[in-house]
Amino acid sequence: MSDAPSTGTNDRDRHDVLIARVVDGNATSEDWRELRAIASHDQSIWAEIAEQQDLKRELDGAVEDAVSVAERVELPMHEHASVAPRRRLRLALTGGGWVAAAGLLLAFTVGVRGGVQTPALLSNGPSDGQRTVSAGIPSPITSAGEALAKYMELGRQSGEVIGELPTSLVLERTPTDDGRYKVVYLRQIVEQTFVDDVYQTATDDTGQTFVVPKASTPAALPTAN
Amino acid sequence: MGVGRRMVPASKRGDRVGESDLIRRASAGDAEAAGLLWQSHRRWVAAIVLAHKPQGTDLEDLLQEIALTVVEKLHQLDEPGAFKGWLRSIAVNAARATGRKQTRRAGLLKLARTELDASQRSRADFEDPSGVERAERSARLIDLVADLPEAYGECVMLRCVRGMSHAQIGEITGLPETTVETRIARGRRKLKELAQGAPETGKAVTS
Repeated sequence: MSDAPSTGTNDRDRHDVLIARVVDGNATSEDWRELRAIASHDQSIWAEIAEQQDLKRELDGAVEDAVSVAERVELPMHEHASVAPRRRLRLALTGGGWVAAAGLLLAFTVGVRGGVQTPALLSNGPSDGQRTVSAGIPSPITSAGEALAKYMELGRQSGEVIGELPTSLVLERTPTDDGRYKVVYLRQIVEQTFVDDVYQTATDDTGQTFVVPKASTPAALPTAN
Repeated sequence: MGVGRRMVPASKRGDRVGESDLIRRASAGDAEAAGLLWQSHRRWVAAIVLAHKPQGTDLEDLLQEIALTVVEKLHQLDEPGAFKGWLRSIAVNAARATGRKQTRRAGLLKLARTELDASQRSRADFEDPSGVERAERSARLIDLVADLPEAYGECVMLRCVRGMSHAQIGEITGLPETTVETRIARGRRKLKELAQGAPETGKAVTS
């Protein structure tokens, strides 16, 4: 396609359009004549074309890779109801949206069963889980949920635990005989620590693993806001 | 070459008739037709989402959301000719809604994610430095397109989808072909400036 640009566009726009046509392989002989005329007093246009060709090649590849995930997404034609909570659950069960929806799914499950309690996710305050505390003397920890809540609370106090991501990574989902699902998932708890030196493992030509200091690439510490 | 109305090749007319029929059947509840329709448009829908979604949002999750909205609202589509614009609106709205949700989630979550990303990146960096570098550069490039003025970003992104012509982009965005061409040309220049860290020229979007 090589439509002329609309009238009123300035020289810069005209250059851009000509370059785009060359880069896209759509330049006409007239376009090339015009380009040569421009180049006769401004050779830099050839360099611009070369740069734009590189950029286009790279961008095309990046976008093609990125949009290829669309091939995995089908229309959920069997899902017609539009009630919001059900919609969330459906999203959790339609395959591709698993990871993001897993948090919702787990929230439902955990909330109903009251089993493993999720400590106040990523809040700065103390956990508001249902730990039993009487007269200032904490009762013995009797469940994994309570232990985790305690760990989060103490970790936050000491600064070792930053928080838990609200989404858990679902590894496996198996229907059970009673119509429910067994979900195997990975919690994502973020900790921090302070060290004197940082090392990384490396492998030499013989396949031997060894550690090397990673002093040349200091870890970037993000700032909270 | 002039800008006037072009003759539509017979094969294209056939395609359009076929697609209109598909759209009618889909809006009448034909699941197979709806599925085929989605399959032939989902790649550019993904490109639209890429141009509008906030950084860090999962594209596949957003596409799932869009697919569900399509299923729920397809019966409301009366005019087959409006299909592409309708689908684009759903994609843009979904991406923007995610942006609003994300804006509300800040603070520690951001810190936690950044920490995790950094640790995963350094691990992957060691395992496959060239692949990671390439992937990071691709992601950065896509983020830069999303940083372009909206009018440019969407056209530039759509042009990268295999086989997408200015005319097809015009159908989706509702813009004349010449405007699409100009926006792509300007957008690419601005993208190059952004990629090179050069200051923007500050030109307004006029077409």
